[in-house]
Amino acid sequence: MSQDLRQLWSNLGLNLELHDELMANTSRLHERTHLSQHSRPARMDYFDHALHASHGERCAEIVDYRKKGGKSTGTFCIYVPDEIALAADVLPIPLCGGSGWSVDYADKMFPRDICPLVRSTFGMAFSGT
Amino acid sequence: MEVPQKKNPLDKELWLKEIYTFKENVEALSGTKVTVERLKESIKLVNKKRRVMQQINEFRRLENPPISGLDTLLIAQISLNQDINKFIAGCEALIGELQERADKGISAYDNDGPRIMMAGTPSPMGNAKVHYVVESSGMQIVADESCTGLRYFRDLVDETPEDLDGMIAAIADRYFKIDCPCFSPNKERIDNILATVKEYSVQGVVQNILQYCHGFNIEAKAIENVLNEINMPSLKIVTDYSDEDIEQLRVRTESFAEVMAAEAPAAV
Repeated sequence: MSQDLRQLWSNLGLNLELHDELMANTSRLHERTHLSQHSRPARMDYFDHALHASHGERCAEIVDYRKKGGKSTGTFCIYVPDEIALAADVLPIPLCGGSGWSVDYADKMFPRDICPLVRSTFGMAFSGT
Repeated sequence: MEVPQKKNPLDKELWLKEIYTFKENVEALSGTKVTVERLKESIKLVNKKRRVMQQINEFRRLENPPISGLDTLLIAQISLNQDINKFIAGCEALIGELQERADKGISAYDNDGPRIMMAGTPSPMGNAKVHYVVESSGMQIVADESCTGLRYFRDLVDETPEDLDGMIAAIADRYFKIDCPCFSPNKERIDNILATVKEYSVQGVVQNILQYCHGFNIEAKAIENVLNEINMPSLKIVTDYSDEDIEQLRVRTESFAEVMAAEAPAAV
């Protein structure tokens, strides 16, 4: 499974080494924060798994969907009417970035004194992650 | 999409036109027309997603809630990424467990509060810094009015219209209720905050603002003034995604927790 994912990422043109760093950073933060809680509902496991799957299985699902001719649109902010996109058979994919790891890679195009969310997203694009 | 900056009739007209333009764009992209049947289904589905998020949130009204602020934040973050049907199923399973935990009085916390509402900018997937610092300082985040909180799922689309234009107007109305400070004036945000602090028995508010988000940062003063009028302690944090200021933030949040414990605030 993980070899399949690495192949998927490679086919998407990701920088595998940097992507591994991003993933490791996400896992580390998740362990320090959410997983350090003492009395979590057991069913939070779905959401923990989904966090890791966001770059893995979910990515594979979307690639598969696109291969079958499915359309998608990247979105920023919660104003975009999901109902209309879905009714037109277009998958809305929120792109708001939350990872601090990728922020500095946005220096390629953006000044430092702007929204970290935007810098995070574009930093992922520019770092190939 | 061109989001207006006011909520006057002229702006509402612009917003409705933007929704129609968006509709045309996605139809052109997929080759699938938005029909009455398809739109009815998608409105129901997205409303269902909002409803399950609301249901999870309701458990946080309880004393010593069965789910933490950190975890409800994660749920909101995942809601933006996962397949909608899988996400709804994941939430429904969790709701069952939360009911059991609530019935048994199982708290997500190893402390008794104070009860905090987060107000401000969203924390997309990958960023839980401020929520983590607040909760690990011995406080319970029982409400969050940000875009990765109530602002995302508070309002439903009205399901009564049966015609296409009626449904589209209902959608435009729902999204126009969003109380982001990019709208000015933004009185509904103040009304929403005051209602939420009451409904969730909030004892203190942390304004969590992403650096360079001038809308939220400027509006923070108005929010602080309103909170002062009701003797609600508040703390404003402006930060970025980096780890560098975590310990400084912790000093502030721990002091905030101590101040609230010392003042033994009255319920709102």
